[in-house]
Amino acid sequence: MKLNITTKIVFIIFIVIFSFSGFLGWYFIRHERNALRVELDERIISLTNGLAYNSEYYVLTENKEELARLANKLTEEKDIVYVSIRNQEGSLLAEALKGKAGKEPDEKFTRKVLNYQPEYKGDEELILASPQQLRKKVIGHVSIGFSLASFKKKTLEVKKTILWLLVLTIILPTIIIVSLMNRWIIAPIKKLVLATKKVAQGDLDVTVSLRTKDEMGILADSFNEMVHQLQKSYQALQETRNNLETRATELSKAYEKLKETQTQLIQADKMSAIGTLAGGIAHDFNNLLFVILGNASLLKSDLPASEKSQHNLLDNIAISATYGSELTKNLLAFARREKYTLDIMDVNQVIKEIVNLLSHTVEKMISIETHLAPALATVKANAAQIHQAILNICINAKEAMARKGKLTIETKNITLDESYKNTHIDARPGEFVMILISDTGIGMDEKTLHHLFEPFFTTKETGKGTGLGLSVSYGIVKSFKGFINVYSEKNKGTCFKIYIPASKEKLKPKPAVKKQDLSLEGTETIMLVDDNLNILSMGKTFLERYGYRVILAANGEKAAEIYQQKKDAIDLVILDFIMPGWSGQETLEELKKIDPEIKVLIASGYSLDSQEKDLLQKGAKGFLLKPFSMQVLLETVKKILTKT
Amino acid sequence: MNYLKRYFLVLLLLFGLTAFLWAKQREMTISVILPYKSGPYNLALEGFKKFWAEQEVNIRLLEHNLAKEPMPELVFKEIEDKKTDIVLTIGSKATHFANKDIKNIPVVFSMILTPVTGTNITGVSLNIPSSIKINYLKKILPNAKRIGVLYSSKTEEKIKELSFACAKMKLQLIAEKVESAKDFPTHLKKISPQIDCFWMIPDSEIFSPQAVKHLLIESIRNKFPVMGLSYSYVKAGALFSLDGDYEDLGEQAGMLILRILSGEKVSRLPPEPPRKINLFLNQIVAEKIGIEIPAKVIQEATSVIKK
Ligand SMILES: Nc1ncnc2c1ncn2[C@@H]1O[C@H](COP(=O)(O)OP(=O)(O)OP(=O)(O)O)[C@@H](O)[C@H]1O
Ligand SMILES: [Mg+2]
Repeated sequence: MKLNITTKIVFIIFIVIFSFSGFLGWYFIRHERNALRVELDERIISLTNGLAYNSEYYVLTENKEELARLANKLTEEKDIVYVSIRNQEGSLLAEALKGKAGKEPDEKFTRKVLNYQPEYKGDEELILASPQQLRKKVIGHVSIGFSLASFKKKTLEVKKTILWLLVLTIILPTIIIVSLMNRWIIAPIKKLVLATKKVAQGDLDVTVSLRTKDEMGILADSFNEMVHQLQKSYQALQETRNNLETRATELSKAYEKLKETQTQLIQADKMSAIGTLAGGIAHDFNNLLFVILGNASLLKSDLPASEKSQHNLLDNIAISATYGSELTKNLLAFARREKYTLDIMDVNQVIKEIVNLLSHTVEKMISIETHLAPALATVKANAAQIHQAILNICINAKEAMARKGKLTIETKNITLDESYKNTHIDARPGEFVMILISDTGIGMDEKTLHHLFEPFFTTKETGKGTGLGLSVSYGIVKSFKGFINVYSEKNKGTCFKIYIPASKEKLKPKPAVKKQDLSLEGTETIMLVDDNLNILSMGKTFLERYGYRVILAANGEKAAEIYQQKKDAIDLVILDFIMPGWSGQETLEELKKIDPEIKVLIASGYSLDSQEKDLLQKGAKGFLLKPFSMQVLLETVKKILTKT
Repeated sequence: MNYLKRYFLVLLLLFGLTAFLWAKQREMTISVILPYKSGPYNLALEGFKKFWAEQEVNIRLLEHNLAKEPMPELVFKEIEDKKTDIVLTIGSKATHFANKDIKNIPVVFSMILTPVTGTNITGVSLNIPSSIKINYLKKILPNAKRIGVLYSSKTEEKIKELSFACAKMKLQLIAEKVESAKDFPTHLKKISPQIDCFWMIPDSEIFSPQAVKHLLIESIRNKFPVMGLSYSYVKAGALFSLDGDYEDLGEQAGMLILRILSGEKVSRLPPEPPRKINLFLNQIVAEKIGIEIPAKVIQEATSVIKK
């Protein structure tokens, strides 16, 4: 059985008061009873003594009349119910009963009636009142019977009173003590216990307010002080913990940053090493290829035209060498061995050109979106190079999305602070123009991301990609003191962010178009067919500058398709000879089928004397040897168009 | 009274000178025998001593306290050996004792009720003559006619004398003889309605303390005054009492002795009644009974018990 402190205290107090009061009550009842009894007895005894004394002479003289009077008088006294007076022989002299006769007395007192007789030696002693001796003689007995009824009644009353007092002395003090205890001790204890429980449960905002200055108050104050201290130290602990945590996160962040920086450093190191290597190789290679190409050319010119198979072999050597030279050119771009003229330029303008280019060449299901900052800062760079760098990234995006998706191009002015340093090894605080190119394509895995900008890194099948696109972009951006960040998620998409330091200078007004050779201008519509977007974009820019309208087609099939629709509008087709899919020759034949009168200009990397003739026979109106200057292009175009 | 005083004066003149001269010549020895030395007996002794202190006589007092003597029989031998000239007895016990054994030495008694007579004995009695008592009674209760008295065979003689005195003073004496002490209430009841005053006589046969108490209670109940035997009876409820003055009795006895020592013959000196009488009154009792005591008597009284 579990007893709370209140019950225990009430129990103890009750027991103590009960036993004390019980004992006192018992003692008082006993005492009162005895006192009453003694009082009664003394009264009866004195009455008996008085009767014995007063009846002396009448017993002596056997005066029954007087004795009866005495006896009757006595029965009028309280409690006395019976009086009898007898002489020495025992015969009744007087008897008296109170009220109804026959009522037996409860108790009886009997006294001897004594006669004191002086012995006078002479009668003169009667006068002198000086008897010499007194003779004592028993002459009879008186007895008084009395009833205990009123004694019992009184005792009962006393008992009742004392019992009532007892009840009061038990209940009242118990109530008073208990209530005081409750107020002064138990309630504060309960409060304290409650508070202690709360503290145990972790609530440290507890205070116990007791408005007393006694030990309880002191206890409560100490408790409050204790809780306060606890709270303080708990807070201190918490602070320390928080500090530690922040330190830990800071540390781990720092560690991560360190690690990242390390990786970036390694990466940068690697890239620069690769760049040095690639640049060196590319330079030497270019020279070698130049020698090969030159010698192949010499050989070819020396060879008689009849040696058809030898001519073919030499052509192959020339094609491969030219191809190789293109590669080395890209490598050199990566290694930044080239020098460009730097102009103040508007990136938005470049992007607009690229988008225009792309809209003609990408699948219809791929949408292109642009968000160009209206007040975009200028950058100090080479427009053609920037064009190249952005275009390479856009091409990759297009390739990553197969048939369907969304390409977003965005430009923004951005201020990088110190914190941005973490994002890239080349990042530094300052004003930048940011170009964001995101796609919803296949995305990249960790490994791909790691090697992304390395030359010759490609995931594409052999022959399809060189792995130089991004390395070129990287080289270009870096040469303008910018940097590229990549975010990619497998199967979700990729986002490239190009940062180029913003220039404070304003865009120079476009230099007035140089006094062009008016003979080179035209208003005809020209369709450019080339798998190389770079060539498409360049050609379009130049031709449009000279008044031509330009339609682009990325391959033979497309060209045929467009031509089918707009054969009347298109005045001239410039066809790349070497293309994936339909070859230049095949395309030419298809176009001829649509319009036998079609005017086609063949562009080729090699001097294909035999093919040239062949093609011209087949309907080509002219031939352009790559790389050609724009002057040559325009002149050739004009020549063909004017030739009716 | 005047007669008595004159007589004494003549005696003094006659014998004073011779006695004085004789006394001067030699020392006299007086032996006093008393039963015990307290209360009235002592008062009498003091009075006796006081008397001798006032005389220019060379005397020697020998006290014999019977209560303190281991062998009272030897007292007389001693008295004789010491050449005692005269013996004073106080109280009846000492008197009867001396009267029996002393022959050659004159004896003067005191504080006894009934005088002893003989050739060599005389003294002062306690007994106040009935005539004097009746005179007082008449003064206190002028209307009293019938006097009640109870007596035993022992006091029959006295009653005769009393009845004679009453008749002489024109009072009716109603006397009842009590055969046994037991019968006292009966007799008292019988006479109490007829009497104007109850006259107590010193009779130890009748008057036990209980009987006295009964008598005094009855007196108040039935409204008859009681003449007590002494002052203590007045205090207990008697209307009045006439007592001899105990100290004066001693002096009176001293006077007798002086006369005897001066040469007077004992046989020629009769026993004397008390010469000084004290009257005690209880006015509370008087009121209770319905008696008005004359103011003159109250003035005359030695002591009055008042509220
Ligand atoms: N937007 C993109 N989404 C998915 N993968 C990409 C993306 N851009 C580049 N890549 C991956 O990076 C590799 C390297 O690209 P890079 O442009 O340098 O070479 P390439 O495209 O393979 O060849 P090339 O550009 O010469 O045709 C690609 O093979 C491709 O796996
Ligand atoms: Mg690429």
